[in-house]
Amino acid sequence: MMRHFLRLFLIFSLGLCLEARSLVFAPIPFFNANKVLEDFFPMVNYLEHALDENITIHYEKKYDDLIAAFKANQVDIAYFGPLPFLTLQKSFPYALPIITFHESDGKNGYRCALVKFGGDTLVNIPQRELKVALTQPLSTCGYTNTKNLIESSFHLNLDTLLYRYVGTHDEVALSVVRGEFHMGGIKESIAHEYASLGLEIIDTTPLIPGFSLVVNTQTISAEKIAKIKSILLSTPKEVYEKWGKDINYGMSETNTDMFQNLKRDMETMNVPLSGSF
Amino acid sequence: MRKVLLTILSVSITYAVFFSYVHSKMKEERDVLLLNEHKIIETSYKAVTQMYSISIENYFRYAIMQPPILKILNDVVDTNDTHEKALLRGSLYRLLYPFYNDELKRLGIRQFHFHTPQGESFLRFHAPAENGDNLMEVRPSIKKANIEKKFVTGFEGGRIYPGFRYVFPIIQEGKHLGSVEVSLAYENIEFELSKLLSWKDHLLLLKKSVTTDMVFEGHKHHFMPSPLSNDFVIENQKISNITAPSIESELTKKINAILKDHYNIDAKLKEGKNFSIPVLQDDDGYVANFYAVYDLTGTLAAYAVTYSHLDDLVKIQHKYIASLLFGFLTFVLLGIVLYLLIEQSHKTLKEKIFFETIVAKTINGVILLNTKGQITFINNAATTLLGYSLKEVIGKDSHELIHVHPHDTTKEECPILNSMRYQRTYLGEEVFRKKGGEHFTVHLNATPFVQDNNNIGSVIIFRDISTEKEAQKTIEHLAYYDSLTELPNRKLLLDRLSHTIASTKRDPEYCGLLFIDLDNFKFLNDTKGHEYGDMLLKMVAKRLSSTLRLCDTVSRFGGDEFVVLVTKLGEDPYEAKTKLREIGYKLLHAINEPFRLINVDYTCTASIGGTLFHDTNKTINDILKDADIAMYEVKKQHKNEIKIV
Repeated sequence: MMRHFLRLFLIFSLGLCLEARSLVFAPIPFFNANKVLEDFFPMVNYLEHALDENITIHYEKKYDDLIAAFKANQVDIAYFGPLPFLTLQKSFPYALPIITFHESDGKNGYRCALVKFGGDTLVNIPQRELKVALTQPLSTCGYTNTKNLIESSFHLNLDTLLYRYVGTHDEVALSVVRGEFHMGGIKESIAHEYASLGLEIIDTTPLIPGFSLVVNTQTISAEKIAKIKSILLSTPKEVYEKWGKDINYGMSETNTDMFQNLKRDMETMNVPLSGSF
Repeated sequence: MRKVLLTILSVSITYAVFFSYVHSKMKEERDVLLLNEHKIIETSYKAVTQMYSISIENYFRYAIMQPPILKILNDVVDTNDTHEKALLRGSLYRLLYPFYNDELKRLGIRQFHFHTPQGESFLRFHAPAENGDNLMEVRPSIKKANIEKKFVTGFEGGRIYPGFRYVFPIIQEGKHLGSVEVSLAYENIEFELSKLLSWKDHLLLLKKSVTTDMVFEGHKHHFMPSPLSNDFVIENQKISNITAPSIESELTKKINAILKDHYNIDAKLKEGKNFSIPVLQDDDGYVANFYAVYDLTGTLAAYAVTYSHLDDLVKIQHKYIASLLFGFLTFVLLGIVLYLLIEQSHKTLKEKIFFETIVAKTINGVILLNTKGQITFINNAATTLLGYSLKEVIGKDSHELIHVHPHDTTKEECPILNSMRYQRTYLGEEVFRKKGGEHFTVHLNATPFVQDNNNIGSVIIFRDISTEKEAQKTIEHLAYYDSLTELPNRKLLLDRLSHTIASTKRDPEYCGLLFIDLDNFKFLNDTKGHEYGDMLLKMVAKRLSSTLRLCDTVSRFGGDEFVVLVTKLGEDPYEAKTKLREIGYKLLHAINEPFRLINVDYTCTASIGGTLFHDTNKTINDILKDADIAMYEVKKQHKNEIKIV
């Protein structure tokens, strides 16, 4: 009885403590902080005004760290790719995706693409020398989908090639353009952005759930979650089209059913946490 | 009231001048401090923007103007195929990325940008995906470099970041291949400034026209309104705080709030000039220095601002307040002193006027002497009395010039000088000498001036009493002499008789008294008139006087009665009586001589009674009575005779 009472007291205290601080938003964990902040700031700013509440930005460089911070209740809202979200939800059931951002074609899902520099030819390169750039272990377009694309396009096993995690989709694209890697796995939309630098798409995956805003139900009340969802879903087009490049094509409520296939893949595939060279 | 107002006005004007002087000095001192502070930011800004010049020029020459790069750029110029251009862009990126990453980034430079000859963005190393936009109209540096084909450097706005540009035209064997720029973004400038100005807080105020009005939509959120003016923006703190220490520190916020509330900072910023604002609050001194940064067109583009504590401002302010306070107290005291001086001056002036009026209008002579007895002042009455002009007496020794001394009196014996010497007033009669040498008697009052027991001079007030003296003599004469006959009168005779009686106690000789009464005098008066009578009396008096010895006294005793006092008649009573009788007869004979009275010859007789007296118990009355009785007996018997008893 006493233990029960103590637990209730702790939950109540924690609730009070969390209510006292401002909302904390975490953007996608990329190395280039300024770029990411630049992309997400308009949306955060809009939310701040609509909620009439200050929002603090919490920045992490890696998904691992972001997931840890989320679980430690240091983050209230975060922008997650589908795979990292599933990784988080696996150990932290309080994470709830509420809004999914559309891709440039208006769909609420995206494709991962296998890319290479148009000036490079892969034909004469020995298999053991092929270098592949990946984003992050927990990234959706990282190890899992790139491995599938290399298998379907070249009948090669990624595990037999040289691969390395370089962080962001942009960094994968640019490192391929720079010739540091022969191929790379990134979001299709980002691959198109770097077409002007000669980046070419070799192959793409089927549609996978889009990037979502995930809220921490332990730190935000249901009323506030509903309010945030309502604000974002009713955001006028002329507003959101000025937001960052990954979030400026509209939004819809997250359909959790779309995560089922990916959830299965994740359970069957063992993702290495570091590169092969 | 008028004097008080005058004093307040004078002190206020003087204090205003003093205030103005102290204020200008304080401003001067403060300006020196501010100038020094200002030079720091000016030098720092110039150092930051110029420090890369040489390196960048070398990079351009040895890293960029290389055959493989030039070949790619040449191919870009020669093709219109988008895909081929993309591959060339990627190749250029691939070729120069190590240089960008290893060299430029190491220097802290992030903006490395190639442009086509038409001024389009070809490749931004800092944002490779963003290209193809035309910069000719928004970037004067690119326009100038590609049209005039000249190296261009200076601050400028941009599509992504405003910053300090170094733009080189690329020309290979006369063929224009576009341009390349290396830029210090405003963030770099702030970062480098923070290294140079580590002890100061700083901020870069960017003009909206070169930032949010120009940059790509996606970059606008890098900036936020400045706390000082709507025309300026600063780096968005919410973004910059994540990756760098807050640029807008607490001190910066505090000073900016003061500047916004208490200074017309917006107007100052619009002027587009360098300026410094000293701020004093809660006994703390701060300074905000604004260094104006102009873009390539000469338009104000930004302000590099530093904020720092400046305790010397407080010291100067304290010194200023202390000076003003001290000055205020001094001037209040001065005012009081001035008021008292004016009061005293008015009083002195009034007294001087009184004194001068008194001295000028008085009939008394007034002479001021110094301690040496020299004349330092003389009034009109004195010069008139003495017959000198002012010039003739000022500075002259009074003792020698005007004071007449009876027996060659020395200065040490001079009563006037002694009165000064012994610090006592001298009142007395002295004789002064006129310019012409004539002497006259004065009654004088010599009063010494004494200050702190020392003589500083003397004032002599004198009046001419010669006339009084004469009048006194006349009065005295009238009192003792008969006005008609000029002979001693009854009073003087009685006096002398009293003295003679007293002297007989020491002198063994006999004295005698003769009582003379003119016979028939009344008849003369009644028949001829008083005029004849008076003339007779005068002539008788003359004859009596001329007959007697000098030691004898003849007096008119009243009417036609004369009394003669005779002394030194010898010690023998018989002889004395004989002598007295002889004198009596002499007198009788003198009277008997005919008189010429106007137009009438007249013969006169007299009855004479006499008596001797010696050291006896006889009183004046006894003597007079004896002589009178003797005279009456003669008168009764036959007149014109003498009887001595």
